[in-house]
Amino acid sequence: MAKKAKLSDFASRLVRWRMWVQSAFLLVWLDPLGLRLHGMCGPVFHCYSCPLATFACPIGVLANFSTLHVFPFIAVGMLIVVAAVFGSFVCGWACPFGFLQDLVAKVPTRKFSLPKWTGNLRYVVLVVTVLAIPYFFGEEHPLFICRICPAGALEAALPNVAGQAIAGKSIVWPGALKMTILILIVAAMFLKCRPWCTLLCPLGAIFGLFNRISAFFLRLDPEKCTNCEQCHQLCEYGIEPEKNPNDSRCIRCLECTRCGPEALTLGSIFEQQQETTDS
Amino acid sequence: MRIRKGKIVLFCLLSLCGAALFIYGVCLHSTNVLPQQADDSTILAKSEPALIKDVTVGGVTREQSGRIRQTYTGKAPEACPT
Repeated sequence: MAKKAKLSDFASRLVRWRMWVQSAFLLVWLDPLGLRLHGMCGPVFHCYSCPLATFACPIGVLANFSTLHVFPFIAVGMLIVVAAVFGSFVCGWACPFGFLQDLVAKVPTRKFSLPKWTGNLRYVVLVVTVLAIPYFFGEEHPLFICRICPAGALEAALPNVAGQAIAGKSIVWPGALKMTILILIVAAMFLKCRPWCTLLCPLGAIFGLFNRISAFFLRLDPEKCTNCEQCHQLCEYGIEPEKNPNDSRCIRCLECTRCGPEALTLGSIFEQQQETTDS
Repeated sequence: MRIRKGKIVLFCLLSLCGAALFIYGVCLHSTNVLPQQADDSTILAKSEPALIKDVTVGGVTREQSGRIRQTYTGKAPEACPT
């Protein structure tokens, strides 16, 4: 009987606890200790204008530093280290906006899939709204990422409006474009799994680039794969894991590792060649 | 085996590079910022963590001349401009 590698064994047991892991990370990002460490970037898409945010948003920092024409050493350094270790595991297991989309996806509505090429829109968002527009036009431009970000609208703008209303202050309403995008994204959450992550998320685009080279990755054992395509049904994001287990659109939820033949497993570059022992 | 070694080398290079950038940003990098109401001879050297904190609330802006100027005096703004 084949003995599974410790890491993949651990991962297969952890998959069913993913929501709890996401909840635990949510507590970290929501700053329960009131630390407000906004001088540092977190590795997730969580608006730092949120009344409950521990760290600064890395995408917000990239965009705002781009307006200043200053290189963001902290944000870039942190993103490279985290991406080199985990790739897009961060998206599937730690991101609070991804967690919200996972929760909404639990609502039993018919989910649609979109063509593969739509995943490349994330790079357009990254280059245009996070880097180019801030650099050339500044933060006043209506397509500056923070002005259209649905996470910012949901986590920061709406709570701030509520806070102003409760305090009896004059209300500063968020931009119409920002609110329209939020409504569209929330509506899309009922029709597609993680629409923001798979279509538009600039942070997911960065982490996805590292999927092929990150320290932890998905491994396909071609000898075990029976081409049953069970992994296609397990993957909610329209990826064909047996063809490209480290696709840049993968959020590494590890659902595909639950396939019957156990051909897909979690691997690490530090693991010795997988040993099979007969007992 | 060769691919695995290559991946380890690439991972180490990326991690070192990322860690170096991060440490440089935290410990050494600073940006010259002009105070809101002061002549241009007064320049503040803001560390990167302080600059990150300021940009989150629209506390600094880039002028046409390319200089970065603080948008407030005293207490920083509470809300993000977007």
